[in-house]
Amino acid sequence: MDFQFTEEQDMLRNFARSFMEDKITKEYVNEMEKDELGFSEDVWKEMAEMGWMGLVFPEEYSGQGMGFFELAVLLEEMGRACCPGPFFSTVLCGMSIMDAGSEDQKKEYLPKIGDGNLKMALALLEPAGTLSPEGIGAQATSEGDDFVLNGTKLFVSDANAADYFLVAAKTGSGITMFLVDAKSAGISTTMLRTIASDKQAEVILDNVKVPKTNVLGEVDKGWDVAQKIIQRGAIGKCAEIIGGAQFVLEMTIAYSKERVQFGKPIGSFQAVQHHGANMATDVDGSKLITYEAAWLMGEGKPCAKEISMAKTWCSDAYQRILTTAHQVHGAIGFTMDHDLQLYFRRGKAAELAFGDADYHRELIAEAMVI
Amino acid sequence: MNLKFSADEESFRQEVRDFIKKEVPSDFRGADTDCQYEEEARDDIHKFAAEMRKKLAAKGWLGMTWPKEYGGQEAPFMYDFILAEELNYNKVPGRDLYGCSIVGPTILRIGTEEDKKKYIPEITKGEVTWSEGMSEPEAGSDLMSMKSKAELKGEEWVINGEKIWSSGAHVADRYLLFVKTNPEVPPHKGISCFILNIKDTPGVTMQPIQHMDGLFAFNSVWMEDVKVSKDTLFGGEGNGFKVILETLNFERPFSGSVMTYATGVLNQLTEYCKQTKRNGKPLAEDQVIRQKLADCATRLEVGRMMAYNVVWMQSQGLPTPKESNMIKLYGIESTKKVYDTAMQILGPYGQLDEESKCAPLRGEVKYLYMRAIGLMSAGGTPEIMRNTIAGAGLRMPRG
Repeated sequence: MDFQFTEEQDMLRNFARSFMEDKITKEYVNEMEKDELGFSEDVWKEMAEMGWMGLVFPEEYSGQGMGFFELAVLLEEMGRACCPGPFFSTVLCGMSIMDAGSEDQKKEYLPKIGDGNLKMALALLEPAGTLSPEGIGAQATSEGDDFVLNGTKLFVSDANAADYFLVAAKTGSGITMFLVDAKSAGISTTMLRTIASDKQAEVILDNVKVPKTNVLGEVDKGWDVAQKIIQRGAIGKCAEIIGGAQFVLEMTIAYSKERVQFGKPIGSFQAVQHHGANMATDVDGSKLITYEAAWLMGEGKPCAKEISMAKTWCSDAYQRILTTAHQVHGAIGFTMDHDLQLYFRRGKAAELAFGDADYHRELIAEAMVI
Repeated sequence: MNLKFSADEESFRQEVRDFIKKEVPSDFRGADTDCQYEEEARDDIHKFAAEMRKKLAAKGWLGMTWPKEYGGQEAPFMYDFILAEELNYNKVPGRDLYGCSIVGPTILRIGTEEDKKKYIPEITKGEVTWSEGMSEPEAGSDLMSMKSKAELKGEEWVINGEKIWSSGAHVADRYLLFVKTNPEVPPHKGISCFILNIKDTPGVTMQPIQHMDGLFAFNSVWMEDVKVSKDTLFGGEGNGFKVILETLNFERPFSGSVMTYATGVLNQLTEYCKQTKRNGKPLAEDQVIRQKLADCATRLEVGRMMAYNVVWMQSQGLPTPKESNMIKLYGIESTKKVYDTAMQILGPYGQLDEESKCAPLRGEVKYLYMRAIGLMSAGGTPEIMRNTIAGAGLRMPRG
């Protein structure tokens, strides 16, 4: 057992950290919340040039050939910086193509994603809001060489930027995943206003024609693909959470040393020290359970239970960390001018994405009582 | 990062499991390896533990990470932790926590060559158990305000004072005692440590204290003109504070293995929930119960990773001022959470002990529920842990 990061992982982290500190400033983050697109194409291009979009894709598809754990390290740094944009949506969909796609699909999509020329969004959830095949109401009907898709997709992250959607829809006896050109006739997108000011949308599919060659994986067997997306998505969100949580801890400890009341820095008061100790314990625990799950995923080992444990723990722990951070900061942390609110709002969004704590606790229980 | 046990570690774990299967009778009730109260308080457990200690020693597993010249195996640190995990999970007593995890490592770190030769082999041979004398009636969390003292008179130290909460002192052979040798200087310079043969030192008297769970594992220990030779002084005169820090540093990571005991209990509880029907369906199908079980399992898994991380850091020689206090804090609080949950799930059955008819989980939950209260204070309260994490770990300003 070895908790040391590899040299490659350390390099990636250091490189990402300095890139984020340079480009993903809080001014940029704040500005992008108000921006219609939500990120800068120039920054996107730079990230692509560093090979981040293709980080986990095999070299034969112009990727970097790194593993899932390395992606988690990168996402951790993105979470630390509140980095906006469709990076995670795109890579997550790309990974589905990587493991469920045909050779033609891999050749077609993966190099474009890696180059930064193709952005994707996951259209999985629907108004039912549940992560289960029963929650999918969208219908795909076979018509000659096409499927015709009808339905409403909700909470589609980065729909506004996507060139392609990865859509889950009902077919004959199961769920099928489709690669859908965002420019197809019959697609209408309405942006939602969300707690994290991120770019989620309702996407309505009205008789959208999708060529049969755009089925990802097998017809009716798409839920397997979706489940893997949910698992990777959950770990990805945990990685973002631990990056954010570490930054929030650092910010809070620094503030407790600066802020003077009753003639002393507030960090010298035991009540505040215990807040710090509780936050740090939650940060460490969240990191370690996330690393465990990400490592198992990267090694291709069974990890469904550990992933759910990580998402359960990080979701709950981050809420404790954030509310405690607010408690230490007092009123100043409640202001829009302060950085803490960026993390608080994103923390809730991360908790809700890819299954909240209760959803994953149920999965853990399932694994326990078998 | 590589979170896999090596093939050698896995085969060692299997060897321990095989050993337990062979040496522990299938009808053995199990004992509280997490804190050894039962071993210290109950004659039958004490006797069984002593037999197991000899068998563990024969395998070379007591102090297995220590140098060969003192009877160790020079095994990597993780092996000792794996052993502790398996014994805890299976509730097998015999590995003396104080001797193997706390005092032994401290002696090897700061003891003289004579100390090592004298005290280490008897631990590895399973011949002795240890107890500590730290707290006093007026010096609990504020340990530095202790009043017990030793004065050098001629060639002997003369010790007077009173200790309390000395766990297992009434059955122990050796006693790590902290007293003031110089009341004139600040406590971190005026405390010294002595090692006593507590069974046969004139002037030492003790009285076991009954805990609220009915057991007698703690003791009050009185010392009246106890005369000991100079070579019982351990760590050098005035260095007691340093010894305390060392012992606590070693003691705390092993709180991680306390969680392994709780994992064993949680698995029994889960099985109970599968087997037991309420309102016509198994408890395990009840949503509320499921969420509680999952929550406990998650806590323990997080703790398992935290424990491995501390063990790994210590094996690398990295300082763990934050992590070793965290694991103690987290380990005990999580353990308590599991036992509280067990009590909730068992409902009225949780209050029954093993002598009662129809007591589930052999009536252990009643004890665990109470024991957790004791564990919260043992070896440092959560409040003190938090102070230390904030101060030594996060470098928050001093109050």
